[in-house]
Amino acid sequence: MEILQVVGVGIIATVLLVIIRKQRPELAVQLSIAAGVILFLFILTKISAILQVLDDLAHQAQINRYYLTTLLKIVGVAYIAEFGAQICRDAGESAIASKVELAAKIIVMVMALPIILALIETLINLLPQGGGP
Amino acid sequence: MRVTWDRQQKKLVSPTRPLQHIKEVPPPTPSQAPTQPQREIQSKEQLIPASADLWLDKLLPYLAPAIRPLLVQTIKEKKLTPDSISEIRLRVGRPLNINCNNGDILLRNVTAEELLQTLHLMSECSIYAFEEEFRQGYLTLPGGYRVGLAGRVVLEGGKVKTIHPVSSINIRIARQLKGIGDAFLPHLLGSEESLFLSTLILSPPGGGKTTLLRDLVRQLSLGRPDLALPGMTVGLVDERSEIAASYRGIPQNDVGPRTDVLDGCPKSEGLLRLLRSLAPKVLATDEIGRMDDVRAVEEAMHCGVSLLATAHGHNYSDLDKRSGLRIMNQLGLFQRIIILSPRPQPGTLVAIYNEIGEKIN
Amino acid sequence: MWKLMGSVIIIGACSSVGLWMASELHRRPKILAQLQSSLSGLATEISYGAIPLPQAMEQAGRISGAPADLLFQGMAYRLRQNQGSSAQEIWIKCLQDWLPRTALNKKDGEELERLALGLGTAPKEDQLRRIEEVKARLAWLEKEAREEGARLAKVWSYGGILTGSAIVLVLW
Repeated sequence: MEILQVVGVGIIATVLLVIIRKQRPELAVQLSIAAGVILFLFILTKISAILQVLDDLAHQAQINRYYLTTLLKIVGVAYIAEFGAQICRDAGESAIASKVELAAKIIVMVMALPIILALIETLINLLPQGGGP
Repeated sequence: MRVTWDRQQKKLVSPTRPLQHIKEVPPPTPSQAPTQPQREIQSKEQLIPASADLWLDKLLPYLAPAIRPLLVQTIKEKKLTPDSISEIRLRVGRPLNINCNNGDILLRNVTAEELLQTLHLMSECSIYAFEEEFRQGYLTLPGGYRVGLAGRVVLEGGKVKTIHPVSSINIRIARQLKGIGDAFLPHLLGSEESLFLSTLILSPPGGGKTTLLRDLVRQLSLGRPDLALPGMTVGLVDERSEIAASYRGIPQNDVGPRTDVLDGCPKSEGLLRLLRSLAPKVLATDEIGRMDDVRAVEEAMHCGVSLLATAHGHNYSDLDKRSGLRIMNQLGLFQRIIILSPRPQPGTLVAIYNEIGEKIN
Repeated sequence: MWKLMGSVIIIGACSSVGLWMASELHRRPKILAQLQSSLSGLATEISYGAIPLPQAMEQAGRISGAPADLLFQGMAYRLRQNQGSSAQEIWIKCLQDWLPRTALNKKDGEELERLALGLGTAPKEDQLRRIEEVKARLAWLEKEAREEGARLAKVWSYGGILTGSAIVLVLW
């Protein structure tokens, strides 16, 4: 039961954090990062299984695999940006937080550009030809 | 860590090295006067290596770098020795002046910058640590050099607080003549209860009384086996740092192994302090004659301590001219009175009298 | 395979930078505290013993640990090697050499430079007053540094990793 392992790691990390925060506060941040990375690695295998399923679905629907990948990347970037912006806001730097969000939006825009172009092309193809005067 | 090449030690040093560097130098031993702080070893490299005179090597690190070669050059050219030079004087905007026995030599002008550098070197950049010395107007360097200072005096409440800025420096070359007391000492010895008779040395300026005092103190402290005289504890009150030339409390001149020195202490207070806490057999001091001194020397006499002192005077009758000395003479404090004269040369003996005024030499 | 290694390298590099910045932020108040205790030691040496600067600086350096001790010991060393410069010049030169190698920033350096005014030449009371003044300012800077560190340490540590992951994600 992987859920027990995940919960176990979470609880251990929390307890250690509380203890260490008193003694060496600077290690507390690094410990929480380490716990986050361990948990992330845990679910990485699960994520790759989901990715596999989505890949098969896309293949069956004859959608280019590239679009799926880009979509997932956009989701990843958005999540990271939101996490980062939240951290900045916690530290009181809300100006930097909004810059981070802006940067994420632009990156998403850039990554999504090919998909948008492909979508527009498809739409143009669907429209009846020669909508002329 | 940045690593640099240390020329003196001829090895690579990183900035952590200074700690080891400082640890390597042995602490000064009190028996031989600590010639220098560690500085001498390190800055030798910057000195003109041609200087072979030890006395000059002791002095050069305290002078501005630009002056050093000039001095070494001149001394080499004129073949001067520590016996022939008495003073080196630096004055801002005026020539560097070397006072010799037979005249003086003027060299090129000393700049204000050079004088300031010299001052920094002499005070180890710590003028606050020499506040009392600046107030008195002189300081002593390791090696026994006595440096007089002059310049703009800063007053506080009508009294001198310090000298700032300093515009003149007078370096008196340390000269200790050991052995000039040899011939004197046999006349100054007494019997069992007081091996050394209380002695007063009288002479005009330049007569050599301080030099004789210094040597007598040294010999009394060391002892003279040939006269069956054991070494005795001597208490020395060195009000003007001329006798022992102490640097931070450590005598730079040889005043003997059993001598306690109170440096820069007013005489009357110093004599009483030594009596009360240091159990001397002999008390020595320079230039007595004031009324305050009388009480102190009286108390010394009552404790059975011998006295060795100097005073200004030309001959025996001068004892009556100063009230303090007259009283001391009347009390019979001094069993021996030595008269010196500066001619034909400093230290010439004129006469030795005993307590009732008879000549005995 | 190569992709994996490349992404590990990128994430590793970014997160190291982030963690290093966080540790610098954490070190700064520590160094400022060390400097304050060294300055106290210096003041004691000057006031009780009227000890000349080389020895006083060396003693002050012995009180605190690295890297603050290097500053004072370096100063003592240079004073002993002195060829006529004033203590002010030597102190400023020592600071210029020492500061870039520590976690302190320019503002801290400016406060430390203020110690040079009258160093060695002013009378004892002024020396002590100046040292107290610099100490007070360093205390204020230390407090500020602690608060800043508490705030920004998290930002830098997480920021490093997140930036690495974002780059990897975009380039994958």
